Amino acid sequence: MAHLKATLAFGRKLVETGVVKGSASQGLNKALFPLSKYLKYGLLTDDLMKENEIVREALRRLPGDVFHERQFRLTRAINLSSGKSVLPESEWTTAEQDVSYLKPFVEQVVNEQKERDDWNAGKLH
Amino acid sequence: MANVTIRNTPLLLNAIPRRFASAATASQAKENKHSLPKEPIRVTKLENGVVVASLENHSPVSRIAAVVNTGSRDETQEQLGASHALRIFSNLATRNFSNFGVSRNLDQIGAELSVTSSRESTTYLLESIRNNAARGVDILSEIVSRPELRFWEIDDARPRLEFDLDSYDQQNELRIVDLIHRAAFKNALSNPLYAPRYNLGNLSSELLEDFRRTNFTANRLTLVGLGINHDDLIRYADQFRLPTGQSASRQQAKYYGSELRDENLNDLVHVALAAEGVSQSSKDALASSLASHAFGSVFNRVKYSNGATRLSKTILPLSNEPAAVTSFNANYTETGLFGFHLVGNKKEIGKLAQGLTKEIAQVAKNGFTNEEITRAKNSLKLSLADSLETSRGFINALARGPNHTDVNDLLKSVDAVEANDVNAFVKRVASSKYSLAATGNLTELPRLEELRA
Repeated sequence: MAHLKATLAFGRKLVETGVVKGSASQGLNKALFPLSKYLKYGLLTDDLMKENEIVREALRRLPGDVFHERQFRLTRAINLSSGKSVLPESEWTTAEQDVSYLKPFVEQVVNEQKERDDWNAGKLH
Repeated sequence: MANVTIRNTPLLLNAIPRRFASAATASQAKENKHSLPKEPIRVTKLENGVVVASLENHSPVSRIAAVVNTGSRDETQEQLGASHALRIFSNLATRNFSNFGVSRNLDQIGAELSVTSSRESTTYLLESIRNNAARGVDILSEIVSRPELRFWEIDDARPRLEFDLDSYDQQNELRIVDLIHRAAFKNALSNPLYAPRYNLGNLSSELLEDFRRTNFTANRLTLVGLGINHDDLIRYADQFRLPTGQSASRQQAKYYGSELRDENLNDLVHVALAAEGVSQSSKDALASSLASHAFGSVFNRVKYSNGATRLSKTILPLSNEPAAVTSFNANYTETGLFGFHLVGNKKEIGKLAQGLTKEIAQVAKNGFTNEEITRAKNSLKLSLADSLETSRGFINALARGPNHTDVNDLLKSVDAVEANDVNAFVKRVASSKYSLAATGNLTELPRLEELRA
């Protein structure tokens, strides 16, 4: 599982330190998860974030191996999609594997930006 | 780091008109006037091992220093430069403050934070207006006890470390101090104050975290307050949560004595020649300082004069080019370093260095005259008393213990040192093994063995 090992360990660490509560597929997500197509490509929910300034900064904050596994999953998904196929069912992403490895960093970046904006707007002092 | 914004200095803006107003109603002011009581220095040792020492001097400025008893001496070979990196990275994000938040919050309360590290201690000093001290401590305690050391922030800040090294590389008077320690000691004290360049890539967030875990412990922390209520400071001490328990046993420095030559094409050559000194707790500590002052620890007391110190009278005439020579003395926990710093032209440096070793032998043989000892005592007394006049000097002294802050006691103990003790110390220096460090064009500089011959 070179495509998930470090990510899962990292996700567990985030849960343990209280940064994240539970996996990405909770609540409504949990109900919708089996219906989603991306799990058949072996992707995680956090892999789908559209790259923009904030996500790029968040990606920079990932440990190297977690980032590389994400790149692998994305490449594999593109490859599968171009071949009009999906992974064998045994390799589909399960709800437990769907760890939220990127979201906390996106939130961190957003909060930092918000703090900066608030200061500059004179809301904090 | 932070500067005062006009908006946040009502004290300054209001104080001026108020003073004129009070002058107008002088009689009224006289009634209200009451002198503030002189408060003693108070020291409390907390259960977790933190020492809290403070002096309430009723100043409008509160100064709070967190002095951690660790520095470059506690770095292992792999960690060389960790204390330098921590000094440079001290404004990065903590658990509750972002990198930006740390600077901006300090800026807003007009506080000034400075981080100084020596071989044996690291001092985080916060200076702020009294009313803002509590807010300042919130940030100071975070910086000292809860830095996150996020790796991406460290990557971003690493150019600052490199910039610091670039400016260090141009200051030979700083480099020579690190070089002579490297030459003189084995372990601990031989570690440089500035990170070696080859280790920059190694100073990762895990390594720094590791260094902090072993060395930033509660029993090594002293909180020093100047212009703050002692009970308040004890309350603030709660916020400094460092791991308790014994820190790892310290590696002990051993005086070794060797030669380190850093050759380049600089015409101006810096040379440090040193021998083993004495430790802080040694009874000869003051004698060693006096010896240094007798040789001349300050180049010239009178500006632009050539100096009347023993060294400048005997050594400088040997050179046709401008030169400078001073003596230095450093007392550490287990040992010390006593030596000389010589700066001269590359053509003359050999003569100067040889003259210097001869001069040391001469003094060892004949001893200092009484007149020279008196001059040295006056000079040492001035520098001791002078350093206690500045708030920073006072804080440093208080961090070492309240008895280091009593100026009358200090002056008396200087007076009590016998000339014989000083001369005996010089004799010991002259007969011990020398260390030599030099940087510049060293063609004319003899080897250490030749200098001793």
